[in-house]
Amino acid sequence: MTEIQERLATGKGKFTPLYPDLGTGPVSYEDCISPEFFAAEREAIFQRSWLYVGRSEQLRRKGSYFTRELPGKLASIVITRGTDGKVHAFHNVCAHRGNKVVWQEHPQEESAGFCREFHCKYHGWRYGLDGQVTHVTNEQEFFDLDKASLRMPPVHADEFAGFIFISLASGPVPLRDYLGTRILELEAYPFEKMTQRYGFRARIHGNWKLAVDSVCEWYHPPYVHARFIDKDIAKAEKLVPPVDAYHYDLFTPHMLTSVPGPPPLKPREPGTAGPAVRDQKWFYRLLRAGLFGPDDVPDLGPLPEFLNKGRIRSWGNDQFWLFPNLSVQIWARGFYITYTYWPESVDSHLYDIDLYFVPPANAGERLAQELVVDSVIEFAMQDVNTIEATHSGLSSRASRQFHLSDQELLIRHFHKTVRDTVDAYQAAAEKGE
Amino acid sequence: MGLLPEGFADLEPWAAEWALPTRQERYDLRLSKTIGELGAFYDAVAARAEEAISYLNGLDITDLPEPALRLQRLLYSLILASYAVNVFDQPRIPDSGAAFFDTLAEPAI
Repeated sequence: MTEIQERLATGKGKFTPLYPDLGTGPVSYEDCISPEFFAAEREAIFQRSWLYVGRSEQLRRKGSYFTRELPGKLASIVITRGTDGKVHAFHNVCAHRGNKVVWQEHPQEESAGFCREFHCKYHGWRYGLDGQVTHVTNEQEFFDLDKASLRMPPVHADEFAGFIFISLASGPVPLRDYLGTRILELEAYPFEKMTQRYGFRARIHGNWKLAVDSVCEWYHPPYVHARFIDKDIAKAEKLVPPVDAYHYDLFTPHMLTSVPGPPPLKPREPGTAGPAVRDQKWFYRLLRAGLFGPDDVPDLGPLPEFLNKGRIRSWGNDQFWLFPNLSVQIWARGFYITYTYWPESVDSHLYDIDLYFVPPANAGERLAQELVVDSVIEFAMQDVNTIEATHSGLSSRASRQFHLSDQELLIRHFHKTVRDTVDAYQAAAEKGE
Repeated sequence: MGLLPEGFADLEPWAAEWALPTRQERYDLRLSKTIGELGAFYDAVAARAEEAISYLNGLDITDLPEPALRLQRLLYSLILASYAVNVFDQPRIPDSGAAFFDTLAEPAI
């Protein structure tokens, strides 16, 4: 072992055997390539789970709204901050003849703004911030119109720790019950201080679950991202932490992975970076930032107790996986990233990455944040292309059995949770529940 | 008035091309260059980067005059170029194929 590896090793045993339900045998990836499974998954999971659609900062005041075109034609919805201060969501459909009500220039594109009422562009019907009709043009021309019942069809919506969720189910369990006690602990984190946002989106030609898999384990970095670590793969392998340095936890359907990371560089006097060289380590010292975040960490007070529960000695981040398609990654250096996966079809999805920082106090802090953002996106592009390669390999069905190591515990758990959710839904449907 | 703040006149030819307002434009420019061109850009701007950061840190980041804003944007481009020059040895990240992330939101400042 190298010095870094010795320092981080814990001697902990394997995690997977702690969860006997998961088994340790080979797995099938049919759930990622079968169109039938995709249709079942969409109905059992995406039309029934709580889904993350945006941050509360996007609805700053009463009358703020944004629309979402949920990929794969899952739904087109409007999300508002009502006059009651609460979040409301409804389908973006006029009660008159089904026109999409809220859009600007292009009906397929998302929009955002502030208003008191929505006006349908077709015949001028108007709706309040709760989706209830407030005006019917030439109302007396209609027949037996029950105006009080007319509305854009409601969608369940709720906020948690500044994250806005919707559910397309008719009677979902309350959001807080769905999230469970371990995820509820995230409320202790000062997300609201991190308003400096960067948002990115890629279309990936591969099943969405393969994208989740690709960032659920820390087995791939010395290979997919070798050059970031060292141009020589043999050296890169020696620089990654040992397998027992990581921490995993399952709280079905959600889960967690915790990762070690280097401590920030000590402060240095301006002008001491030394002469410019073509060496990224020098560049990181110059900008005071690297792959694990800025070196000048904002003061956010004491670390909330819910973080780093695995007591990793040199903690880098906690990545909380909120079933089905959101990951919230909280970094030791005072910023967070959300990753959202939206299936379009069995072999295509949209991948959103949003990074949030405390607004920078000066140019140096701003540049450090820019470097972190650029690093994350360069990394992510390599991951994206790997997902397409994996989907292509699986689609051939040349092999049907695959092998997961202990560090791929979350992958085993995630696919099982998806399959179990589909099975439970189908079993209930057969019984006519 | 010059393109850049006083004392950074030697970087003006670079600023004319690289001091672009959005990340997308900066990234597109990186991809349009050869690794040799990126290396020359990196060498020139990295040599002055620490002075540039010290200078900019003396200003209010929410109210940068145009020349300072251009200098700041030049440094954003330097960050993008650094990966190509120091890590990838090519303008595009290796093995990323057609993958690309569109920028949906970036800070005004």
